[in-house]
Amino acid sequence: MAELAQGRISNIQLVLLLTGFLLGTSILILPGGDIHPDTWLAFLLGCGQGLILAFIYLALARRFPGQTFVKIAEAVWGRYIGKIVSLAFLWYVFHAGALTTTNFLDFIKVSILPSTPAMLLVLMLVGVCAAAVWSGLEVITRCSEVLVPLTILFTLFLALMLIPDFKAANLQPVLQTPLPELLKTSVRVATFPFGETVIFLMILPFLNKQNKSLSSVVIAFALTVFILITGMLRTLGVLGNVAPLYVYPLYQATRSIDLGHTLTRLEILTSINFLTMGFIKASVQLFAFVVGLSQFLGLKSDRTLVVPAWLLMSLLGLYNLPGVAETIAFTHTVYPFYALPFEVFIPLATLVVAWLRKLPREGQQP
Amino acid sequence: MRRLLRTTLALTLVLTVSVFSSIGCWDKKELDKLAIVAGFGVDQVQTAEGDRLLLTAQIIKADQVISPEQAGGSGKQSFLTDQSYGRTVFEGVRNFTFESSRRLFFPHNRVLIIGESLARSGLHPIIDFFIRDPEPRPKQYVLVAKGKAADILSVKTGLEEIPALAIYELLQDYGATSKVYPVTLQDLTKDLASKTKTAVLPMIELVSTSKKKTIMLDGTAVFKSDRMVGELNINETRGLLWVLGKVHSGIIVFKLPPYRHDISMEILEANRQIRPELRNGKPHVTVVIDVEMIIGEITLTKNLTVPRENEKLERMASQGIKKEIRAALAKARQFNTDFFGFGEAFHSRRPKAWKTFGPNWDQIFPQLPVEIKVSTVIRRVGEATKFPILQ
Repeated sequence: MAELAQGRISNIQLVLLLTGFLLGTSILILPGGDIHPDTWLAFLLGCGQGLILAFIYLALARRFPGQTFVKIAEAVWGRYIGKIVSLAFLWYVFHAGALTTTNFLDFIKVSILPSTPAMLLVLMLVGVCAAAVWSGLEVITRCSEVLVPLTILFTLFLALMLIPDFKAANLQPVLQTPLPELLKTSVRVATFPFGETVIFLMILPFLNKQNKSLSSVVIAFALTVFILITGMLRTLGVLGNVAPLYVYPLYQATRSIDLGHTLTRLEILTSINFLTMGFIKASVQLFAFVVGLSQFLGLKSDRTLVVPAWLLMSLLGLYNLPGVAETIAFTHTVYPFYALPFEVFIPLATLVVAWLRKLPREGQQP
Repeated sequence: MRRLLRTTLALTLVLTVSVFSSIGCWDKKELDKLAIVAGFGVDQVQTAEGDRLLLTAQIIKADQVISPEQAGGSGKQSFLTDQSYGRTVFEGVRNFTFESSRRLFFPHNRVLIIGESLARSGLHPIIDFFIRDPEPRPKQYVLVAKGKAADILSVKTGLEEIPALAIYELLQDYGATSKVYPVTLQDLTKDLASKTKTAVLPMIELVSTSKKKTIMLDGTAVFKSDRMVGELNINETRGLLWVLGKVHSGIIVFKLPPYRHDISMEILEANRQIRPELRNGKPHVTVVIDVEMIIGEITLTKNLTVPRENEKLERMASQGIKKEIRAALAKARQFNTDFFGFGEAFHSRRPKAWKTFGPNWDQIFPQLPVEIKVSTVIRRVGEATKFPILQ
């Protein structure tokens, strides 16, 4: 079983993998909608709410060590309801992967390669992820070991290069957003990206030491929120009141870097950040889907599913949303509600039922 | 041996694929297929079909930009100005392909010049293209032409091969006088989006003498919303720069009573603070300016390098600066345009009070009391203590 998951991942690797996963699309599309001077606070609140969710996932994973969510659902909910629950979960994983692909595609089509056919782009982008999944979880993890530190480095470098354009007055006035508005934004941030950690219920079983996972998750969340706030502050400091005008404010802000006419056009670093982090996110999602589906169907080999999953995810990514306007609307207004059952209700209900039924029973430990 | 063969085969495959894919496919841009735009002008004109935008592109002729040794004899122009018409900017840009064999390429555009009549009728219809399209850069300068932008872009300039780059350099070096305010596309976008701060743009004009035509920066165009409503002359422009904190250097010339000789002081460093305050619940702004100066040139034979005279000079310089600021302020009040950004200062630093009077800023601004405090310090006197020719 799970030939893709051969080779175990250490806790440090989990930190980097989870950070890369969380930064995935949020390093380009700042979560929470339009930026204003209080967005950083919403990020912190959202990260806190995300941590609460992460506790649920970790509690679930600890109760059933070495088991993916598909197996857990079957054990907790019984054969038939369990199948329905895990099917719903797998749909969420698959659809989230397709959304990542859509974000990829939108950005490249808008800003880099406007006339290259979308089909080709999407097949190649997800193709790289499929190749990584084919090689197994360890390869994805090792990629994140290289790419995440690079992203942190680029983020700090870009923030440094933007100092000449930075105006602190743009960050004022602070604490003027009404509380309900702030909470709304923070909930958006909690569901995207932090709540998406639920997908790691398919990764956590392959961890070396289960009992250290909590600290890894906390560190990864802290790292992510740090990168997000850095990006948000420098974007707002540079763009000010026009930040909400752009589809990709983070990218737009880096376009204004111009140091002595030599260090310029550095927005490509933002693109690289997005492409690498998005690659990790989409790979993790594709991996979770492939492993989950093969366990769901009880297949002997899960590698056979990689190619079909690649093609299906590409197609859904290509056609699920008609355009950038719909993608933005979906990300900011629909997604928080859409993700709620998968990120909160299903894991929470599973945990509660497992607790009520006193699962897993002694002696039934796999 | 087999492993070696396999590795070789795999490598060959990978390299072949990357050779074919790295040249790019659909979005390739070859240098010899592009018309690199250095300067771009937009005017409003009347044609037989009605109002149209006249677009003027100054295109670099890459094969004519040659090394200085060769430049002497050739006498060929290294740029080309091309024109096209359109109802919108984008349509006009595509209409260039009717006569230009190459596609216009905007990422290297340095200046965007807008004709005065278009500026007076509003920027909103034309500015969106330059923000929305991924090619134009946010750091290009935007100017208003006195007269038509098309005329400005067709003039050959002195030292630079490409006139648009010459304009760019002129704006870059504004600090020598601090009497020109360079505005980038990004700044303009922010000002247009701001609820209270209004936009300003530097102006450029064509000067014709009997022998030749040249271009010259002159003054600043003042906007209310997106429409140009007036102008600042160069001294008022420096008044604006003092308040915006953009003064780098420059010369202040004044007479020191009771003498009738001119004294030039050079600005070394200037710092400014805008303090939005509430006095009796009413908004009040204090502008504090600290200037460090150096004596640049004196034309009288008295020794001024003594503390008492120095103080007098400092006072005179401060008065000169205040006069410039007051002149700019008078214009701002006259047009009711808050180009200093006082409204934004209140918004960011007095947010609670701003909520009460912010919506009526248009009525408040013309009566807003502004206190100007200037303190000048003369630290150096140049390399001479007195007028060098002894009496």
